[in-house]
Amino acid sequence: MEVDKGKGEAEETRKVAEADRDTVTLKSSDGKLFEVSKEAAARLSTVLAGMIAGGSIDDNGTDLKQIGSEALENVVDYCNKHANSIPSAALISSSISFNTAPFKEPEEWERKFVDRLSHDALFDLVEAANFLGMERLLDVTCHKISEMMKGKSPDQIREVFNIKNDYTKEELEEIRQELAWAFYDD
Amino acid sequence: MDALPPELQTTILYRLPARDVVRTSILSRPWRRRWESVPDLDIDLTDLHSWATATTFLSRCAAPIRRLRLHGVPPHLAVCVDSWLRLAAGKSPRVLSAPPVGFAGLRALATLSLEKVFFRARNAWRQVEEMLAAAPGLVELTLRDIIFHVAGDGGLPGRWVIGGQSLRRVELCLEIAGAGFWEVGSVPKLECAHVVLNDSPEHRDYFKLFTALSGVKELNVGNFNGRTYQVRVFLCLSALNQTSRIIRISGVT
Repeated sequence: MEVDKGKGEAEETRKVAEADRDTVTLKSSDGKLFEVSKEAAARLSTVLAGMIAGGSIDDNGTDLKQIGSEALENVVDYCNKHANSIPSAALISSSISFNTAPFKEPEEWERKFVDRLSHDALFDLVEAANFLGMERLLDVTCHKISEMMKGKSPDQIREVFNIKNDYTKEELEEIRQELAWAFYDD
Repeated sequence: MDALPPELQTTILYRLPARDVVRTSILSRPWRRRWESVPDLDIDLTDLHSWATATTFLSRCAAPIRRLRLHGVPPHLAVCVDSWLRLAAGKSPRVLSAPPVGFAGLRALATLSLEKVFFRARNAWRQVEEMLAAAPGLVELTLRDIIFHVAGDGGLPGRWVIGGQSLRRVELCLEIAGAGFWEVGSVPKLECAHVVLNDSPEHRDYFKLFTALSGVKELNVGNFNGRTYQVRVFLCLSALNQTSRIIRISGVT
């Protein structure tokens, strides 16, 4: 019927307008534009939540001058994946647990998400997450970096993180003596 | 890594075991003292080969400490334990797994685990009571294989009470012969209790014990030497534990 068709079109228009309002556009330091769900951005980033609430979001792309396009793409990707993920059994379980650690373990998809990143991309993402106040993403990225250090010898860590050993032999010996309990196995 | 702001370096480091954090001091000059500003350390000092340097470490590490485990201290160094624990207690540990000392600084303690501890001090069960009283935020408590020294022949340690206003989980594995006549006192928030009973019933008022534990959601009762009369335990449990959703009993003889 005529009326129904008109109603359907109005519905379509409304949906488009709504979809429009449901995202925010972010602009990287090198001028690339990225769209991200407004709900996920507000939930995962305290800084973006503040900008959305304060009306300082620019429809033509909100400038994030501190964040390069690769890092911003990863941020947006993370937000979208997060919006689609189902809470793991551990999170919804009612079993009594007493975790004294100040951070939560990453979930499987979060591990995969950071595992595929290059070194530089990972460190850029840490800084982007920090800048945007994304506590969970910061947790996940920092966890990954700490995993890369866990149980490694000083030489292995220097190699992975490109740290130059500028100690003299005497200085190294002095530090080993001072805190010998931590260096016994070397 | 070196280019990151210091607070992010800390965020990364505090996830590592304390040993790994300390070992970063050897990477390069900028790293030499970085570990000293990493809070929330998870410290495991077990069977060390160089106990003497534990003092340097504990006096320099940042506060608060998340967890300190101090096990396998050789007898000739037992006198140092007190000073180590005082150093640690001054740094508001949230979890302490070691012989106790004096107790200011334990207000933030969330987990306490005392296992295979021999107490030499006179009336040391009072020490443990005081320690529990000094830690009102204690959520999880494990007391296992504790022996209090009693002077003279054949004496038993005195009566003492295990309790805490925030306790949600307790694990008790204590023999009267070693740990004396312990009782469970006020535990208004207790949700889960594991209790191993191993004393003959004439010495132990099970009715009183299970009354104290009657509010828990999960109760596990074990019996490791087969000396407990299970029938009496069953009767007490069926009379009292209306609220428990899970009751497990093992080691029935």
